[in-house]
Amino acid sequence: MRVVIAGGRSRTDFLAESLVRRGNEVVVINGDRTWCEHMSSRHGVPVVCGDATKRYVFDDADVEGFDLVIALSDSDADNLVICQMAQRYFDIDRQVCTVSDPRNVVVFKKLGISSVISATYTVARLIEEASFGVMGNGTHVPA
Amino acid sequence: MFHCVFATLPDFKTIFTSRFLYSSHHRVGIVWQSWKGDIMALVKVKRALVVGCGEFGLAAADSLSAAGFSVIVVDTDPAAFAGLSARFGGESVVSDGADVSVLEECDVAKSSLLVACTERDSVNYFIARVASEIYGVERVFARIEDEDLIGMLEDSPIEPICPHALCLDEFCRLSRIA
Repeated sequence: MRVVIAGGRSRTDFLAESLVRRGNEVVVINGDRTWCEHMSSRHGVPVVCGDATKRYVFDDADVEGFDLVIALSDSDADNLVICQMAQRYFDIDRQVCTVSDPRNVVVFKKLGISSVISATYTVARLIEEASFGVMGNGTHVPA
Repeated sequence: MFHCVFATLPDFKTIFTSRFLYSSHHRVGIVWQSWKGDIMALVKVKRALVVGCGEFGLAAADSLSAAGFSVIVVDTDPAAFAGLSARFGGESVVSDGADVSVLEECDVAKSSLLVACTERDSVNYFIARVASEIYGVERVFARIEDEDLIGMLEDSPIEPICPHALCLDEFCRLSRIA
């Protein structure tokens, strides 16, 4: 698969390594130059330094027709823009993004993003499961 | 300020007077007695939400308030509201308008107009999409500089406002270069 990862730091580092090891083609876009240099030397993947919410940065990354975009920036609004821009201008049909506000999971899905992950929501569910052995939709409140 | 116009039925005169009150920047309420003797009331106050209270947000909030809208302005910085005019009759909320729960607390679903004019394009884009597509706000305006982002709103009822394009138009008009 051809994957573009926009934003994020340690998560991107880890994810890029794992995706490359499985034989995927990975391109990274990030706004932090020092971090970009680190990524480039460490993983040997193409790294574009710039604001991932801008179309010309995506143009530089040459990701037209890629299979997947993963948006990991800290701003939920930026992640929406990254996903929708990739879909609209670069024909990337599958988008995965993270959101800080757990409520945005539903919001982003309604706005047409394929997969939305909230760390807060996921971790809360895991804590709940670990604490009470409750498996389910996460809405269960133990007595 | 609130005015009531009384009449036995909402006849021409009532409608004319209410129009007059509306145009003179007051909220409009028409109260009348039905033929059965019940008191009937028609209060039509349109709600507007302005997210982001910079120079433009302040001016937009003032204009909407003066035009008879019930206005809520939202900004993270309480100092931002100091620029509202003395005649502004709306509410100000210190909070992050990019937070969906804040928009809900501001009754976004009941608003008929929303202006997204924070400092960030992506935040305005996000708020506009949410207001228009999830809460069904009828008229949504988003202040966006990035023309590629504006292009993404082509199929949507959201109305983008591009400050630098407006400046350029004005520059060309004043300088007569185009």
